[in-house]
Amino acid sequence: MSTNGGEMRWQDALYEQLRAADVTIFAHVPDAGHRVLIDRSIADPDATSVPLTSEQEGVGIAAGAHLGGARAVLMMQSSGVGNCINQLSLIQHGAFPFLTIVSMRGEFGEGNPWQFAMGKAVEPTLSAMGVQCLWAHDPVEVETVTTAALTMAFRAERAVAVMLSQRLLGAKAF
Amino acid sequence: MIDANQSAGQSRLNRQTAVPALIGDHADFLIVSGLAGPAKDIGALTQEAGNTFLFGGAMGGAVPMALGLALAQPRAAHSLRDR
Repeated sequence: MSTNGGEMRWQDALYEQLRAADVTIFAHVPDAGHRVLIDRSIADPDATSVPLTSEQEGVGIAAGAHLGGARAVLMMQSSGVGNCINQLSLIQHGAFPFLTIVSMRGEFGEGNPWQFAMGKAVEPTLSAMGVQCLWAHDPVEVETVTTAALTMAFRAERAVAVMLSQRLLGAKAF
Repeated sequence: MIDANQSAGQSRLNRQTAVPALIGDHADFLIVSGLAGPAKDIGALTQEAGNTFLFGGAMGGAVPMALGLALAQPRAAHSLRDR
C-alpha cells in the first residue's frame, strides 16, 4: 500500500473503497488524474483492468458487467464525457446501474484554454443523459461522496458520476 | 446459404440462413446484438429469449457490452453480432 507521510493517499483509499464494494472491473483511458486507480487496478490480481480506445466503450462494459453480475467503474477525464453521450442512451433506456469517476479539467485554476468548453459542459450533458453528478473538492470529501455514489449506483441502480474537481486534483498549467 | 447471382457473376450471402447456420443452437450462448439488421436476425432466431440482448440504438455499444458480460461471466459462451 502506498503511503504519504504515514497516511494513506486519498486515491489509495478510494481504490480500496471501490474494491470493498465489490467493484472488480476498472475501465479507463490513460489519464494522469486517475493514475493511482489505474495502476492499482492493473496490479490487483482479483480485479480486471480494461484499457479503452474511447471512453464510450466503458459505458457498454458497465452494462454488460451488470448483466453478468459484476460491478464496473468507468474512469475518465472530463473531456472524455463528451465521447460518451450517445452511449449513455443504453444506460438510461435499459435502467442499468452506472458508476463513473470523472477527473475534471477546465474549471478551478485551469491553465489550458482549450479545456474550458468541455469542462463547463460536463455536468449539463451528464445531467441531460440521466447521470447525477456528485462533487468532491477536498480529500476529506472523497470517501463520503464515493459511499453515496456506490449506494445510488448499485443499490438504487441509478447512473452516478463522482466528480473529482481540480481543487482536489490540482490544476494543470498546460 | 449462398445465392448465385448469375447475371452479375457473383454470389450473395443470405443472412436469414447464414446466421442460424453459424450459431447453431442459440440456447448455448449469451448473445448481444448490435442494432438494425443483426438485431432483426438474432431476434428472429431466438424469439428474443432471455439469453438475448438486442440493441435498438447506442450504435457501437454491442461489442463493449459483450466484453463486459464476458469479463463478468468468463465461463459462459458468448456470441456477438454487430453490423
